[in-house]
Amino acid sequence: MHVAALTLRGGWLSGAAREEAVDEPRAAQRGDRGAYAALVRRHQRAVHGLCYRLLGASDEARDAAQEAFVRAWERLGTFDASQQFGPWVMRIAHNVAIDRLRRRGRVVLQDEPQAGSAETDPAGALDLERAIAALPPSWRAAVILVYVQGRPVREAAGILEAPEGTVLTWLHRARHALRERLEP
Amino acid sequence: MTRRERDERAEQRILARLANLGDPEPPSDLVDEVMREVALRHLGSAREIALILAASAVALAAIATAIPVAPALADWLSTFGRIALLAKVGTTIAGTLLSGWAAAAFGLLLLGFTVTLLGLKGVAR
Repeated sequence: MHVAALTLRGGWLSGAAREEAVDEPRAAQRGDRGAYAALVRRHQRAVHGLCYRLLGASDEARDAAQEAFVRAWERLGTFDASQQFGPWVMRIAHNVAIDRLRRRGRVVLQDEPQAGSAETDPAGALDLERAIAALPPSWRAAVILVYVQGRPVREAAGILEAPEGTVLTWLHRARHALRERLEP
Repeated sequence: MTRRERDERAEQRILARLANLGDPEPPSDLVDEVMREVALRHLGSAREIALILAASAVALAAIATAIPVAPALADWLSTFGRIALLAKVGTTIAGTLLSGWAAAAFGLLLLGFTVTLLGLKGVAR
């Protein structure tokens, strides 16, 4: 199973996968750009996904994801290699996306649901995307990290730099808002 | 079925849809673009270091030339004056050519040269 999937679906890593996931950030810290490319490849989907759903526009999401990875490269010296790289780079991506959101002040939603969605009904997927986009950014980020990407609440709290209790409150309110919008 | 039960079921359906939504496919060239930018930043750092070395070599050559050629100038300037003059020249060069940590490193290097030269001059006397 792919390491990203293991990391996203509960934070568990097999021995080999953990070794790979720990070695690559260390190699990247020593300036190994090949190792960093592997890290980018592994985490690009989650990072781009968070940026896409926070920013709503695919061009800006792409720019934000790129900026996040470049910023992460520049700050690799501050990364604790005994920790997981994924949540660390996701925190950077969240900050980049929130900065851009503040500058812009609104969300632009694509007319078509993006490829990758397992929703069988395109109209349903678009409704869901619209409902997510209508949430406040903090609730939206929590929903993406926990419900869409399947991260534990503790990890999401670390990424969002908020207490776990606060994240749970955001999720509760987001569930209520989504229910009101999608199943009134 | 109570309203609460209906709401809970509705939430469960929404959570199932969210779990199935997944992340959109990232742009196919995202990794290449990131690594291109990383390479450019790396090149930028290498260029700054090269610039520091070149500027330091020029400064060293200028100081080495000026000391034997213009001893009067060296005598004319007080110790403090020399440091101030070199610091001013160094800051101007660094501020014009470099930025951030590179300027600071260049300034420190120049200060090191100055202190060394002053030390050597003191020893010579």
